[in-house]
Amino acid sequence: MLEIKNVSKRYFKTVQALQNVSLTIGKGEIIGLFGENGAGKTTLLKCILGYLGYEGEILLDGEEIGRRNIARLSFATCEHSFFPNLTPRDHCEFYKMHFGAFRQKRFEALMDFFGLPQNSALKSYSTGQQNQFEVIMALCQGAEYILMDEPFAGNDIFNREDFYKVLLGILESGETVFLSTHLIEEVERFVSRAVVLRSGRVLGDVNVLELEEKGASLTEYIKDCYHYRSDRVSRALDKLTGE
Amino acid sequence: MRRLEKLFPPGYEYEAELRLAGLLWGAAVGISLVCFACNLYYAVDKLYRAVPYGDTGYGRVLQEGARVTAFGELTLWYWALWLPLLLFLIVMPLLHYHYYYRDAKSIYVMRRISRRGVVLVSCVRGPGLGVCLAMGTALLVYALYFGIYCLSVPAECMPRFV
Repeated sequence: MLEIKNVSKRYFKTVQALQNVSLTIGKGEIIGLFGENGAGKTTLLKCILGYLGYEGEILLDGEEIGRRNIARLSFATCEHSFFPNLTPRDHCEFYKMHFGAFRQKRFEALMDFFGLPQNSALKSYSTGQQNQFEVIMALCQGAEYILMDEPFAGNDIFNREDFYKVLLGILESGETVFLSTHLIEEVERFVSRAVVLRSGRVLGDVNVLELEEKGASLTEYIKDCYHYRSDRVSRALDKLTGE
Repeated sequence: MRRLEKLFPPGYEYEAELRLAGLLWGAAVGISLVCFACNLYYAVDKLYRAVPYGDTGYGRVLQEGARVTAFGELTLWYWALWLPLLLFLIVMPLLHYHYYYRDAKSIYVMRRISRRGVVLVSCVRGPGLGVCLAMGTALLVYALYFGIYCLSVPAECMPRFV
């Protein structure tokens, strides 16, 4: 279990990126992390991984995240975290050397499924291919908690659909996914829980199945959390056109 | 070449750095050789004076009481020639660390490795070896020059403190 307790993060003493965020992420959950740009999604993921300093506490099965347990977490980011000059094969060797639980079979299967060339340097891949590879490495590291920060930015719809299906198919019961994305309608069928952030605070935390039973969609729920006014576009256009 | 890759961060394009380090190393050795040869020649030459020899020529005789310049004084400039290479080797780890943030953020992977010091070792291993090789060569060449100095100077002209 991943416990996030009263985590706050301030940048340059002025920008409050996170304010007393508290969450518990159980094993095997697939959680969507939603929020507008600047809500604190990326900051939260990076705090969990220890890439940023923060106030508060983040525990993995009761232990602070550090050298002993960091390999239980993996990360796929739209910034990409691979070595551009290395080939997928080189990455495979690197991960086998440094991550004892690396899943070679899963790696071979996913590379084969997406038809990614194994002997070309990553810098020669298209953006979509790079995104796919980034997610593949996060899934194959052998981590129990897979954190993803907008991993599909730049991938076409068919690509994304394939990935969701494969993801649901290969994830084991002990694997947890914490996915930050703007593609609400797409991941709605895929996530079991949704956490909504705004201005560094948790605005909503809901079980998607319960939402569906109430007849509400995730998009409506998030709009509700944000007090989104559906007439704001027409009002703005009226102002612009002078009508 | 595979072995050299292990001295640098994964995927790092080290060839240009190696070439520059090699160039600086070659310059240090080459310039020191020329400077030492010139300085030693002039220092030894000053020990002799020209005397007429026969009808046509001149010979050289050792001046009485002449003492050659001390080796340390003769090679004062020597260690400064190695400074550019050393400074470059000191800057290299910073370039290697910056590499993890350039193009893609491979630092995120490196910071998930359980083993302590992986990032640090990957940044300093190559330059560290370079410093050892540079210093080793510098000392070896210095010792060689000292040997040549001792062989070139007549025993009676050696300074009290070399």
